[in-house]
Amino acid sequence: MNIIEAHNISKTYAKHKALQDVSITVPAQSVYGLLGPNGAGKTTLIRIITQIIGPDSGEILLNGKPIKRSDIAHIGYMPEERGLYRKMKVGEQILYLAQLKGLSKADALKNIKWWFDVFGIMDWWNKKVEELSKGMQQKIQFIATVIHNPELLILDEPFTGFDPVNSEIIKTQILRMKAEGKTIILSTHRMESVEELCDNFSLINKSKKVVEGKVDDVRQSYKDHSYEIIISGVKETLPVAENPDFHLLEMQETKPGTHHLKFKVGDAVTTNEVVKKFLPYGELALFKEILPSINDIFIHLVKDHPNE
Amino acid sequence: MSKILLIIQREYFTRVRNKTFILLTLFAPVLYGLLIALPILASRFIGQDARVIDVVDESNKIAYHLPDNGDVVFQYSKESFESLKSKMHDKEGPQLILHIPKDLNIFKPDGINLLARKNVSVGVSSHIEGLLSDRIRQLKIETLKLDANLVDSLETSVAINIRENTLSGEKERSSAAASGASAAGGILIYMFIFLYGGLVLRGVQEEKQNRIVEIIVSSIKPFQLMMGKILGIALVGLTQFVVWILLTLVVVTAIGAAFAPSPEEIMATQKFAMNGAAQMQNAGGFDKITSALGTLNLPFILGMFMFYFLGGYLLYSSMFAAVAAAVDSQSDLYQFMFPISLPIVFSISMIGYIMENPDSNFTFWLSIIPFTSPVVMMARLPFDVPTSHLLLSGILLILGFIATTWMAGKIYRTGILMYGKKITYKELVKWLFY
Repeated sequence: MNIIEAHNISKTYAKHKALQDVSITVPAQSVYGLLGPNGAGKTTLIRIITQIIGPDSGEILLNGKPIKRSDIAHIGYMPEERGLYRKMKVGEQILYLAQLKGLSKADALKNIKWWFDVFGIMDWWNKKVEELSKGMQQKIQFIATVIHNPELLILDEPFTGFDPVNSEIIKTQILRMKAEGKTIILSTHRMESVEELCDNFSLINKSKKVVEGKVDDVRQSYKDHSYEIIISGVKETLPVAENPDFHLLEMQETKPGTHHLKFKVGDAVTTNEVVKKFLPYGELALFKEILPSINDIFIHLVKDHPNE
Repeated sequence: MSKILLIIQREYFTRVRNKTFILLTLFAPVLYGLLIALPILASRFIGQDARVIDVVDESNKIAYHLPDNGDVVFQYSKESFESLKSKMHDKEGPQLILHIPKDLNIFKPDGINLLARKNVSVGVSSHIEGLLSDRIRQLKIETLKLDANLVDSLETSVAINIRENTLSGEKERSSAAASGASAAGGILIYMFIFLYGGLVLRGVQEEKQNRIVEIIVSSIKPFQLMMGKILGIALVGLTQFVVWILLTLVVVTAIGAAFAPSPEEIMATQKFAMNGAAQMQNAGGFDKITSALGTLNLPFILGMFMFYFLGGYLLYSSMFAAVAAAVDSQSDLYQFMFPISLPIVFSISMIGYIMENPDSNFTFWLSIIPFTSPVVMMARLPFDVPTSHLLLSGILLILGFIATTWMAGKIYRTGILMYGKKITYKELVKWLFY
């Protein structure tokens, strides 16, 4: 079941093409990463999903049906440009934002109480936002995003501007909400957070989608047959001569008779064949196929093919 | 719909509950009342130190004929002018010496000097001049052996009653009252539009600068947010307006009651009145103000004020909102605010002309065009505007604010999400067509 399907979304501002024929599929109850450099069009896509702006063409399906205005009650959105009314009291402010999302006053108060208990901040209720520290404000910001218990949570660059403590809180909450069956879309230009949190992701560059899929699948499909091994008790010379099927990247004798090496093999060579090749020379202490990081894939796709 | 009500509620209550707002609303009429009352109070309670004037009358024609009052008291000296003058800088010496020369010619009364240790106020000197004139006039009557009653009967004062002959019959007019109401109406509406339009402007700026706006427009359409803010602040304005009218009535009534002259005071002033006719004339003037205000249709003017305030406010505040949404920095803001405010600033500068020419073609056009009509029509109103003009102006104003709020909405929804970009007019026009 997919919670969001975006079909062939295009959006142009004056002469600037923000999105060109972008389609993404977000499976329900997962964490989905929207990846790409600044200015790629991630925020535009998110604004179209949250119905802040409309697409020039294409459509968004929510749970298989075209998204409608009333669906915003099921979406929680924390934009990249975020803030709060500085002069408004914390409790009143979250109550107001929750009511704008369509919650009744009674439900809103109940939810606020729950979240304030979780964060242990009951005594902040009557404080003005400007009296709070930056870190405290970030907590309030996050509560304001999830106060209506949304099915779909969209976080635009959630880790920029947040201090490490709050970033960690958000990570914990993302995983907790996923366990509760919610879906989280997070957009970021930090590739490593995708590997850490996301089940699926898409990579957007220069207003086009470059790649999409499960994180593991994509990494598998972009593997370049690199391996890392540590082998000990070696007495003979290791078979590391360059040939069309073997390319040594790095080799180091860490202890007498123990070698740590990285190498690349030909596309046709299987993992078993690699193991077989080294097994007679000693004890394999580590054997690992090196999968490319999302960052490597990004660089491979974007930087190596700038005109695509 | 209920969401726009939430916005209106927030905009309204955060402002109305604000301490500064409450103080300003409650005390503005009181302050205004004090502004009027203070000079009266001052003259009553602070002006008790009467100026004592030593009179050296060498002609023997004036002495003992100058009446004292609370402010100026005369004492007649037997000493010579020169010896009195030499004592002037003694601690207890005379402050003011009125010297009347020996050879005073009542038909050519010059050579009278008032010698003062310090500067003399115009009030005191003209008061003395008045008393001297009255005394010399009396002397002339005596010298010429005229009948005093006859001379008094020559005293003529003409006040024209302006009556307007309209289709519904004749009615009393007062052009003074009309001019006053005209200027007041125009200036007030100008002030109100800028006051509350300014609140909208700052509100939009605050939301953009706080970066809360994108969070809100993920729950509600930008146009609803903009309209909610504009309508909420309009209600703030109306609340303040109503409170001020009520308080002004209370304050004016209170001041009126406190400062109405008591019967003794009226007697006292009458005792010193040298010229009965002048006194009569004054009383007539007072009556005239009350009756002049009566010639204006105040409930109608107030109703129209509400309409033109709301219309003009909606028109201008939506443009202010659009501009505030579009720009990031204060300096860019002024660049756009200037041309937008130009029509209304122009209309206030034309108020004098409109009061003089309430029915000219130019005034007509200014009172029809929505950008100038709120101020100009308010200034025209006391001079009886044909219903057809009012209707045309009203309908155009309504159409005008619908058009500006529509355009403002377009600019607003693009502008509020735009950061760090220098906006040009060309850009704004493009946004209209997104």
